[in-house]
Amino acid sequence: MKKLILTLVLVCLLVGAAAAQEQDAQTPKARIQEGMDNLIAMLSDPKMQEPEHHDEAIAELRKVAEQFIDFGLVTKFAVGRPWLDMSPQMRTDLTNAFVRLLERSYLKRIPAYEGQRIEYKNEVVSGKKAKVLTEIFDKDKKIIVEFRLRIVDGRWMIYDVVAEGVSLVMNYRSQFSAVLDSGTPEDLLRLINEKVEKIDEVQKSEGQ
Amino acid sequence: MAAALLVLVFLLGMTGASFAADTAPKQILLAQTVDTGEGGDEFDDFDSDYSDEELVADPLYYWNLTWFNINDFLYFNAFKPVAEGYAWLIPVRPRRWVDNFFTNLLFPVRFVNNILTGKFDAAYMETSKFIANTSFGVLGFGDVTGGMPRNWEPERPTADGLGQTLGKAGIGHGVYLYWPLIGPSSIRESVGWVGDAYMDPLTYGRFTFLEFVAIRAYSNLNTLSLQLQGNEYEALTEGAVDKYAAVRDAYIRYRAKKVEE
Repeated sequence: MKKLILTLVLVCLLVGAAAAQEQDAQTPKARIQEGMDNLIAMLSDPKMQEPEHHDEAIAELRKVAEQFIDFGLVTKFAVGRPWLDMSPQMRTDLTNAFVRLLERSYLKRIPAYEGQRIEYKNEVVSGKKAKVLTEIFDKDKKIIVEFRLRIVDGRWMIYDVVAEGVSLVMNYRSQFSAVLDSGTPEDLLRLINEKVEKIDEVQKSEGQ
Repeated sequence: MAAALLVLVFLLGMTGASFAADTAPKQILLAQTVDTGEGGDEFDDFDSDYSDEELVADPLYYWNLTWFNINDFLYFNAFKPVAEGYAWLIPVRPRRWVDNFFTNLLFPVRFVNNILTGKFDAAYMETSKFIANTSFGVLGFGDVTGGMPRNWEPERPTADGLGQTLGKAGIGHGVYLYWPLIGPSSIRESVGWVGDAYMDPLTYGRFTFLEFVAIRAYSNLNTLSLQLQGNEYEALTEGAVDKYAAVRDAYIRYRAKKVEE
């Protein structure tokens, strides 16, 4: 009888803990909302657009981005199945190179926040995966953006962004698979690094 | 894909049960098997979200790639500089008027395709907008309906051409094409463009071929001049390891989304 009671208490405690954890957990939509609010707050600061603070601004944006985007997953899915045959070192190198590439491309000029409005339309959760559908209004233009998330270490993390039907991850996969089909992971790594260097050169010449 | 996944799970389950009844050395093998399966399972899980998207063959790869490289070169070395000069010369307001004019002119394309795809509310909206802008907007140079309340926004976005209509009818792309100057396309979309040309009032104007081309070129120049800051093409290709593959993928997926609307 005592054993039974003890077991019941233990089960209740576990269930209670699980319930508490669930209460603490954000919904995927709330997660996206928090991320976008942070982004808007940062982009509303005029200092972000100052050329002399560019490197600091990028570092700040990246720090915040890493709280919401799992770049490891992004890289893994962009590479696809060849990832399974890669060494841990190659995976790390590719992830770092790819993050630098994304950083250079999408943060070349940090855009000022100009009153773009975001509407959160829909949220679909399926096990450890979720989709959040948003509409971004920029003046008279409407852009449909879907965020795709997975639970990583108990938090919803973004692993893909689909804008107007175009998936960031699948777009890069179509590029990477062409390289990996005819070459090696080292070839892909070299290509990404070359692209980063090329962008750096262009940005320097523009800066001068 | 789902069936294959189910079979995989079933086989793993059977294998697991089998190994559990065996000796310790094979249990180690079980761990390895599960690990490998888990890795593959994760990619299957990811891919399943995108499995409904069609694949389009690119058998004319080298021909397409050649024209892509020529177009890309022309964009950065001819079209963009000219558009920048034009934008410097002409204020933004008249350029928007020109854009409105050509958009208004293509009303028949949108109207007919809205009807063909059963978007009657969009067809109604287009008609109202066309009448309002043609009269009160002085032949369409003004857009008097911009910023109007929601009754101007149909439930589904308005049509954008015959290619979209053919796609909704279940007709596939055929093969991927990249046309000189025009850009990315496919057999279906090219047929769509020809069909749209019959509904374009410019086609029936008394123009010589060169005059027609010049008008088209001017319209495109004007549109580009309004999109010089961070347009889709530059955003897409700037960070691309393989520009050609990036544009091809984006085009196919964007058209797929349009067909879904």
